Amino acid sequence: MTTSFGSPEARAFRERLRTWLAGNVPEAWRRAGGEDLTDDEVVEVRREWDRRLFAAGYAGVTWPVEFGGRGFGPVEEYVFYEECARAGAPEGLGRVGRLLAGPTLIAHGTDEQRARYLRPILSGEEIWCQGFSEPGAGSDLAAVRTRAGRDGAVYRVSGQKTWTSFAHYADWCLLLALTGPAELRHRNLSMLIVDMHAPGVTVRPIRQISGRSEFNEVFFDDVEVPVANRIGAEDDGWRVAMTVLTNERGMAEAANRYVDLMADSRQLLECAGHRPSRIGGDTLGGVEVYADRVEALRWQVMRAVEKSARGGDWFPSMAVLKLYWSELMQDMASAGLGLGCAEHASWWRRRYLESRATTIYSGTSEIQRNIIAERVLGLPK
Amino acid sequence: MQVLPSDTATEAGSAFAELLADLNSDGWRADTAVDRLANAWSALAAGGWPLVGEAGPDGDAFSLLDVCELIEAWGGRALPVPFVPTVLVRRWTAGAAMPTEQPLSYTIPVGEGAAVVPYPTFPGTRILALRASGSTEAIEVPEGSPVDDFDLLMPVAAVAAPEITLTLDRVVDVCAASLAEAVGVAATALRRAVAHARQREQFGRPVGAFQAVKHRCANMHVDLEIARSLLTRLAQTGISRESRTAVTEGFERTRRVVEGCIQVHGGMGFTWETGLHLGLRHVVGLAALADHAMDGWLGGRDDVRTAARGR
Repeated sequence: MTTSFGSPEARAFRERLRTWLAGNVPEAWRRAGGEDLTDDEVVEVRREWDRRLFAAGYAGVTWPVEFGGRGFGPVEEYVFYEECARAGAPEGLGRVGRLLAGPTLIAHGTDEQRARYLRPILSGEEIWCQGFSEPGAGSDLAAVRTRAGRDGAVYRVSGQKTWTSFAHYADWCLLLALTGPAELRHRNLSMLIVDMHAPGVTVRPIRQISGRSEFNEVFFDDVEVPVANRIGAEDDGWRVAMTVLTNERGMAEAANRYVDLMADSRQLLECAGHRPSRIGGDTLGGVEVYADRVEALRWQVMRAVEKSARGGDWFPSMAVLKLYWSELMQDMASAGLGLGCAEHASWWRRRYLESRATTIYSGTSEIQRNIIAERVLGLPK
Repeated sequence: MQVLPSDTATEAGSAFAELLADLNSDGWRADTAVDRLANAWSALAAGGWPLVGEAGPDGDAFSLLDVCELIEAWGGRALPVPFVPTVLVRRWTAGAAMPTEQPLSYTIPVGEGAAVVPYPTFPGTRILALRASGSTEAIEVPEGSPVDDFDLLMPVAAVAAPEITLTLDRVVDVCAASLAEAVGVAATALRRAVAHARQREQFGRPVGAFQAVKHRCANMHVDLEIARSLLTRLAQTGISRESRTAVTEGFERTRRVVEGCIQVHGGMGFTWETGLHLGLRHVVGLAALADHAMDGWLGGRDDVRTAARGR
């Protein structure tokens, strides 16, 4: 594990990874990001990607070695995500397992749970989804109402989760459910492993403002969950959830967004009627500044990563990163819309609609600003 | 690739910040007596701080990013003395034997035969001009030259100075040092805004408990952080025609932080004696200085490419 991007270890790791990616990212995907594939083909590419990551030892890069990971620190982790994104690698279906369920089990699971679930996560054999958000529990996540009532050796789970990515492929759901009295806020939730193939589980796609469906709502109707499937103590699920929600999982997203935004800024320059080599005049309508803002994101992530690698707290940096890239993505989509480039008008319009989500998911911009104000700057609650 | 200042630079920055807190406990002040400034300068020299940009006896110098860490600390408590120009000139003329207490400044070419000089009137300052021929020589600011003191923490004079140049390496140094100082100003502005918002009460509660104020402060924090990232990138990769806008962007973000600080202070922020205008004037002045430096190089030449700072 290295603590600096400039170290020989970090550079060597980047080189090895680049070579591997060059030989392993499927050509069809690299070309069009899967745009010209059918839904079934997309799923197959993403499953195959999970398998290749595992075979090459790139699944669970930050997991401890004893649990089948590589034990890498945040510097290598960032290099990993940035290089994968630069190489146009697909997103595996195993993402929730690798980034969320696995680290939760490693931190809070029993030996039996780890032995049962960790390896299929790494190998891509079993897909996970995250059951936290509910229609009535968005920004106020602790207001979860899905009820898990104890009935002998099982919990009986009833309720509704929403914004669940991968739910229609998932084998398991990491579910935050109410086990204690509603008034005992933060001390009434438990974390459960729920079989998505069990009777009483219904998955329904959500149609987004762009017309696409990438998320689902999931209904649980008296679903039986063995008590042995609880992670951590009963009514201690909030603490379990917080340990994974406050780790560096936002880094993976920031690295991906950096690469997306680089492509967007090049597209903006092209749509403004100029190739990058011809910059210099005032005719670009101001879009050239976005390239700088995108590069600032990369340096911002790298600074946060090195601080965290040197033992700093990652949490304060996450709010800044999320706020910055999500609003930048919206600004750039608006700029693209305003350029009136006939060839790319429909692309920018879709980008514009889809970017409305960025300031809402994973903690709204308003919540991020509250976090910065109260927990970083120390302003009163 | 260096992403964070070295541990040595970070420790030096903290020690420097402590010294500055002693020297200038009241924050930015315009009406600083001349003898107080002279004392401050002596204390800086006694600590060896003007030498921070020079290579030591073993040839190992702080990187530009490391030097910027110290200059950022300076910006948080800046006084109208030529500390930053002295650091830069000593860095550029390493080996030229000059006493540590010698205040120094330099010239930035602006158009034909003219140059601007920061801190032209600080007593005893030696102004070194780089001639196009490559030689360095001292110039005088003529008695009665007009001094622009809009930026009360960094007065600037325009002087007649034919055949002056500034190499691209030095342009990068001037821009990075100026942006680092502006980041220091912004960091102090944010700290003061937060301190004020915590203790100032209206409607029976601290104004910092209102989300409208909180969110403005959060935006200031983001602006400050992104300005630091732009500074890091500048110190690592230099300036090209394409990335000039990044320098401007950095200064705009620091200025927004100081503007926010004045807004959070309400009416008090608009008064002379609260002194926040010194920070605001300084970020404007520093941005103008960097603009002059970039104009000289990036305005008229097509062959400018990145000046890589490979350390």
